[in-house]
Amino acid sequence: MVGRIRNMVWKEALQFWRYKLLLIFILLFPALDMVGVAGAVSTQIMHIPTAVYDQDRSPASRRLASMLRASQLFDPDYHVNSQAEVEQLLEQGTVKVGLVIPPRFGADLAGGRGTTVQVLQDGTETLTCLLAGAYLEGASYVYAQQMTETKSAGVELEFVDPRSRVWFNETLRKENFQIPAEMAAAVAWLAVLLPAVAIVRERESGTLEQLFVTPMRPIELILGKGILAAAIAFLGFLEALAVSTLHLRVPLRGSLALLMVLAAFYIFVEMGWGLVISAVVRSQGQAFIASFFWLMLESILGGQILPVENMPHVVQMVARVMPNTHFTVIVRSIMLRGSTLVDVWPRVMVLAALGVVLYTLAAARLRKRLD
Amino acid sequence: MNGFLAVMRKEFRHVLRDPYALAATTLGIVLVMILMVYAISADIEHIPIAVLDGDHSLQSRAYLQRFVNDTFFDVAYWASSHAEALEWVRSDRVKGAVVVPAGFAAALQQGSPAPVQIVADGTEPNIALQIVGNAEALSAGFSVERLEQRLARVGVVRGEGTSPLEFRGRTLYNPDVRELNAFLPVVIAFVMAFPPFYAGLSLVREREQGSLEGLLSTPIRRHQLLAGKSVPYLLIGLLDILLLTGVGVFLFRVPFQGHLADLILFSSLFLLANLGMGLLIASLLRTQMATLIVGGLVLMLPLTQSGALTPLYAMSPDARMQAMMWPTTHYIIIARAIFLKGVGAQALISHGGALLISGLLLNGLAVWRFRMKQ
Repeated sequence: MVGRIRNMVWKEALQFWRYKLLLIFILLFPALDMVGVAGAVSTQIMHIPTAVYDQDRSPASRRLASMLRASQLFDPDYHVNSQAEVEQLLEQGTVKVGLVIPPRFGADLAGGRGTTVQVLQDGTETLTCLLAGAYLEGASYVYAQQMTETKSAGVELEFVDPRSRVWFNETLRKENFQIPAEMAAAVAWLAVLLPAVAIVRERESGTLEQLFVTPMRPIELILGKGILAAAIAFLGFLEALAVSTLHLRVPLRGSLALLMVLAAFYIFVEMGWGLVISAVVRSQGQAFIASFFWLMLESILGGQILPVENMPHVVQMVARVMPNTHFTVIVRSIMLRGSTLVDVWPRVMVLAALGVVLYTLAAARLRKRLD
Repeated sequence: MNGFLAVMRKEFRHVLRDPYALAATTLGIVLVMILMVYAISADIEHIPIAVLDGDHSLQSRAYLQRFVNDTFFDVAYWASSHAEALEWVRSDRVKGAVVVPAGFAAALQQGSPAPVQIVADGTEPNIALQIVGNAEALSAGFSVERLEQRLARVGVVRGEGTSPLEFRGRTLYNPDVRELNAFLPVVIAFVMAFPPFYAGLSLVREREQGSLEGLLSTPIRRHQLLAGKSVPYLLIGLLDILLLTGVGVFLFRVPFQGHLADLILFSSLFLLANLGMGLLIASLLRTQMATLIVGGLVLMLPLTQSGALTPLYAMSPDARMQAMMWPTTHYIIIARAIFLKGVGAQALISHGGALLISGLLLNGLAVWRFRMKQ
């Protein structure tokens, strides 16, 4: 049995070796992906392009603009002369926020009559809206507090002083959060695509039948095909890990050995989906569609972007059969929280159960298709 | 022209002969989109936290009651010691902790700051930020309420208009700041990258099976052959756009402010650019296996790099450059503008131009590569 599997792996390796361009791309992909994600998520939301229509042109209105600039959240670079221009800039997407400062802004403020600044926001950028809104609300709250304090001179203030501390990712560095998840996703694409294609190709060209007239059993075929794919995916994982920790400075607080063992295990389970897909579809074209859809869902629903616990139940059910969902939690815990095997044990058990189900399904289906 | 039509007819037959693939590229896409939209549109609330009431006073209970009543938080555990509360965070049973130390009420009475410790798990920064933000807002609300009670006792009533400076926000295009409205165009852009890639795969299949040589020995020109093979997939792509738009508008109630004609025009440019990528990959790699793997990986990259997760202006200049290279980035901007802003084609000309140029360039390269190899 070992000999037969070894021959199979050798045959696959030879076939892969013939496509140098493919190999180069596969090897570049994890690094490309990690660096790309780091660049895309690294910066915090700041420097929102902002238009200002200042009808007052007083020291007070200029002070407001410079206060916004000092916050670094806004870049009030666009000075315009009408509300229509503000709306036009918003429509073009040049600015995301527009401020309309009323005439007599400075005088009203000084006179204690109160004044209202209109804020126009681009609702298509939801995150920008929330942050800008929260900041401005805070700014007006500060004014309100100053006002109340002067009126209530002599009254003792009593207030709660919340001291917030963020653990495990102290500076809330987004890369630390996004990159480990992306490692799980990038490996999933390799681990599903490679075995799915390897098997369907044999079926389409009719060589799968030939393989089965040899004494080779389905499980041996799966292993033979899978070992090379697993090795490539694992290499991809190591590469992604090296780029993340050495170049992108994501901390690795847990045990490297544990992470590597669990990554190998994860790849093995994730490949189960590739095998199931290969056992269900009839052509490489169908394999492409099926893997693409499945991987797309894994990349969006697997908890990289939003926590799975907050998704509707139907979606959660789908997310739970994705190995990616569980490994995303594992890799984040080990890298950021320094978790041990005991901490992540429940997730490992789920992965194991998924693996058993997927491989049983794939083997049964493969045998049936040939009878 | 005849050759083009003949190839196109032949390709249509291929498409229709594979009902599974056809169903997957139309109904399957809709299903994928529905799942994605449901996942994204979920509100973030009921975040589990542990609380510790170390003071056991009327005030500390009133303060923590605010967390119990808030829908963002879900007080999952009342800890009996500081260490225990922190252990729940460490072991990932809760996402954060609120610790009210002994002496809370006494500090409040004296008018000195009453410290409260808020701990958030930073492994998910977005959630951590919201935990901190919500906890601070609840604390501020508590403080203001206490302050108002005190002021009322000395006869000062804080009412409307106490704040000298008020910002009156008006959100355009998406007044309720509904996440789903902004995200639907993104989902469409993600799933639509895929049908044109299928054309490249079909081309390689012909080559692998040897039928391409037969086609090439006919008088048909190379670009006609490529165009004829591609048109059916572009049409499927357009059909998908209409399907997805229909589901988005009628099922998910996403507003559609622009013109359908604009959407079809710009979607065609987007499909053209993706087609170019698919054909170029297919012409560089000679087998279905290789095309499929590289194609899949290339389709994955824009998921995270196209400005769907972070606004473009907040990216580093390098990352922004990289994002602008993906047709998906431009299409997301265009689709959002058409769906939500209802702007006309003129306002989108630069992004449409980028799609057109990359489409012509990539397709031109593919035809050239294809010609060279035969």
